[in-house]
Formats: sequence, C-alpha cells, structure tokens
Amino acid sequence: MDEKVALVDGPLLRERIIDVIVKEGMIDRDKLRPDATLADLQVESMDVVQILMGLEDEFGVYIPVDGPLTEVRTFAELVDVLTGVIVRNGASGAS
Amino acid sequence: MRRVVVTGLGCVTGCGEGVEPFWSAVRGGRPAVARVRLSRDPGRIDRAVQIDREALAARFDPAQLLACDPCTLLALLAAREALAQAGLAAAEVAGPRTAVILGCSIGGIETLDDGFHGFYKEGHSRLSPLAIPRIMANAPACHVSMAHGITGPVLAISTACASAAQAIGLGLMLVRSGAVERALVGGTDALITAGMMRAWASMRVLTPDACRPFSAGRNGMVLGEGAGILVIEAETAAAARGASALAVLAGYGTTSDAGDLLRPGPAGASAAMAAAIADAGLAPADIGYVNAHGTGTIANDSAESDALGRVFGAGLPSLPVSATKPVHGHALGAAGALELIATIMALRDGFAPPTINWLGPSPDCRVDAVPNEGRAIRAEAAMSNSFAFGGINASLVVTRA
Repeated sequence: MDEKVALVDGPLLRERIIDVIVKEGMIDRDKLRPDATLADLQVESMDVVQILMGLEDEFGVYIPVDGPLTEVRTFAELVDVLTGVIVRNGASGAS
Repeated sequence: MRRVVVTGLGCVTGCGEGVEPFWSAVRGGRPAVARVRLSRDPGRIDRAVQIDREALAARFDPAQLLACDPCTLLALLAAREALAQAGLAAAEVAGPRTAVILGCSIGGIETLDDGFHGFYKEGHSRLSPLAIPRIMANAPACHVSMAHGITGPVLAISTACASAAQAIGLGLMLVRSGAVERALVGGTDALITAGMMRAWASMRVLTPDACRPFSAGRNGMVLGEGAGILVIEAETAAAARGASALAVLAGYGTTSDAGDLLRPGPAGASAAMAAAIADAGLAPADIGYVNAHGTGTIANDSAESDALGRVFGAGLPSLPVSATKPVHGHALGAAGALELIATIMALRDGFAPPTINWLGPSPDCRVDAVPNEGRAIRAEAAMSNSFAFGGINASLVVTRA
C-alpha cells in the first residue's frame, strides 16, 4: 500500500494531476488556460483543500495548504507546485 | 476595582504531569512531539503531543475512570496541583464564593469516538449510559466543582482555541466584580483520536514535518492536548490568608472578527491586545514579553504579526514574542491556559522561552520570535494571545506580583 513508486515529471503525470484538480476543484475545462488565475477559475480556499485531498487519494501524499502553495496565483503555477511536491515525495501510485 | 492575583498553577501536558516538567520543556525548547499511539490509524499525519493514557489512568480509581473522559481526568489533576500550590484549605475552596470556569473546545471526543465506533461499525446496541455525561463539554468543570465542593458559578466556555483564555478572562471579571472571591480557571482538551487527527489533516493545516511559528518555510501546526488551571483570587483575600501571589492577572481583552469563520484578521486581534493592555492600566511599551498564539500556519502568524505591529508600532522589533506550541502542541481548548502559565513562568524567571524549529526570517512576520534559543529578559508585564476559529480573539496581561 505504501510501496514507493518513482513518479517522474512528465506529460502523463501532469495530466493525472490536472484531472484531479479539475474534478475536485469543479473547474470548467473550457476556461482552462495556463495563465488563468485561481480567481478566474473561481477556485477558493476550500476548493484547494478538496484538490489536496483528491491528490492524497490518488498519489498517497499529504500536502498542507501552507508552504509553497501560498504563493500560487495561476493554474500553471498550481500544477507546477503540486507536481514538484508529488515528485519530491516519491509518492506511492495509489493508496 | 479589586486587583486579582494568581496563587496557584497546575497543568498536565505531553511534557509530563505538572508545571515543572512543562516549563522545563518549554524553557529548554524540548518538544514532546512524537508518533501517536492509537488503536485506530490516523492516516498520514501521525505526529502530535499526546498524553500517555496509561499513566493518566493510573492516577485514578476505577469508578472515576468509568465516569470521566480523559479531558475530565486531566482537569482534575491540574486543579489538584493548582489548589495545592495556592495553599487553600479545603474548607476555603468549598462553597459558593468560588467559581470554576474551564474552556473545552469539543468535550469528551474519545468517549464519543469509541462509543460511536462500537455502535456504527461493530453493531453494539448498548451504548454506555455514561456516554453523554462523559462527552458533555461542561463535564470537566462540573467534576472539578464536585471534587472540591465548589457551589459557586460553574461554567464551560467553548470557543475553540480561545476557550481557556476566555474562561480565564471571565473569571477575572467575576472576581473583580466581587461576585466570587476566587476562581479555578483554565481549560482542558483530550482529542488526539484517529478521527480528530484525520479531520484536522483534512483541513490541511497540520504540518507534515515540523511546526515552526513565524519562520521561513513554515507549513502548519502540530496538535497537542492537556489541561491547564490557575487559581485566581482577590488580592485582599490572598493577602488576608498570607498567601503569596505568583503574578497579578491584570488585564483581559476580547473581540470578535464578525468576518471569516476560519481566516484570522489583524484588526480584531490588535483590538483584543490593545483592550487587554488598557484594561491592565498599561501602555504597549510596558509589555516586556508576548507569548504568541503562533500556531505555525501561514495565515495565523502573518495576521498575528500584523496585529502586533499595529499595537506595538516602532517598539515591536525589540519585543520578545515567542510561540511555544512546537513544544507542547496546540492544545486547543487548553491552549490559552497552558500558554498563560508559560507567560507567568517567563515573567517570574525573567526568561523568554524560544520559538523552536525556526529556519530564518519570514517577510510577513517582522517579530523577534526568540528563535531557537531562549534568553533572559527584564519584563514587568507580559501578554498571552489566543485566537480561535470563529474569529474570536482573546488576550490576557499579567504583571509581576
């Protein structure tokens, strides 16, 4: 269950992360642009918490709301930061 | 206006039973954070400052263990220690001229957790008939009143992380007014259960590594539990029986943000601090040490630093402001009492305890956090802050006796 699987940054991983963000954040895919701000996408603090819970279910990694996420403004930054944390934690593929 | 003094302190924390091990750990910056021992899996965040349940149970007889949730047992021990230090005779404590006011954020959550797990999951149809009296948030205050024959006002204050600070503040007002001669005030909470750990982790406010208030790279709080109780009395009453005061409980201020339920705002926090300092008849420059709410979250520490700046202005850079939660954990309904005890000990010892785990300055926290190493201070007055979910702010000011 907690078997560590090396996750490498790449299009496949990013697509999985984006899927979780879109689903948990209830984001309209049509509005997705890298420079769209979280405010544009109507992603509020509780949505971020839901996204982080979805990522924990998917990748088995706990990410607090504080830390690097605090600086995030755009969708692209959100994907970058989350990908970085997930790769660094060598998260398990499923939990 | 009657002056109110503190004559007894008592606490139980993950640092041990009593004020001595608590202050020793806080002063030395020795954290009691460890992997929790629970019968159920708390999930990924499994570190907190937990009370040893076996050691706690060993201090009580079977009838008390049946009747009381751990949050009540902790309060009973802390009350006993505080009363012993105050040197009050049993006959003086008993009766209508003493109040008991204890903060408790949720109540007997372990009893609730175990009972409902048995009922929902295991299909036990017989829930304990003692479940409700163990769970109710006023149980700790009521058991303390029963243990000591206290028939005056008995109250539970449940305002999340401000519970104990508000309980102490209300006690100050009751003693000042003459409604009672003395009061046992403080708070208790014992909610390190798998479900509660998971619920806090779900908010994403718990740190996955270390709690580092006011520091660069901080990323959340660490949970704790415990009880802290103070005996406060009218100064005249304490003097009449020849008791020595540990400190003067000089001021209290409380405000409500009436804004966001979870996100703290600097305006309400600074207003509470200013009110407490004014209530003590002091000016901000008289405060020589602050024990901060300092949870280690981005939001709290940033708003608290902003609020401190509004109150202390140009004096802030030279004011020691430490957060001791990384040592004893965020004890929620007990936090304000534990931290006021630390504040009183800091004043008495002339020593500001450190904010441990500090990595470097954070641009949004322009305070002297007494990083990593405690140091000697010269302070005649000190302040303790508590800010709660719900937007409630409470500050207490103590002065040297």
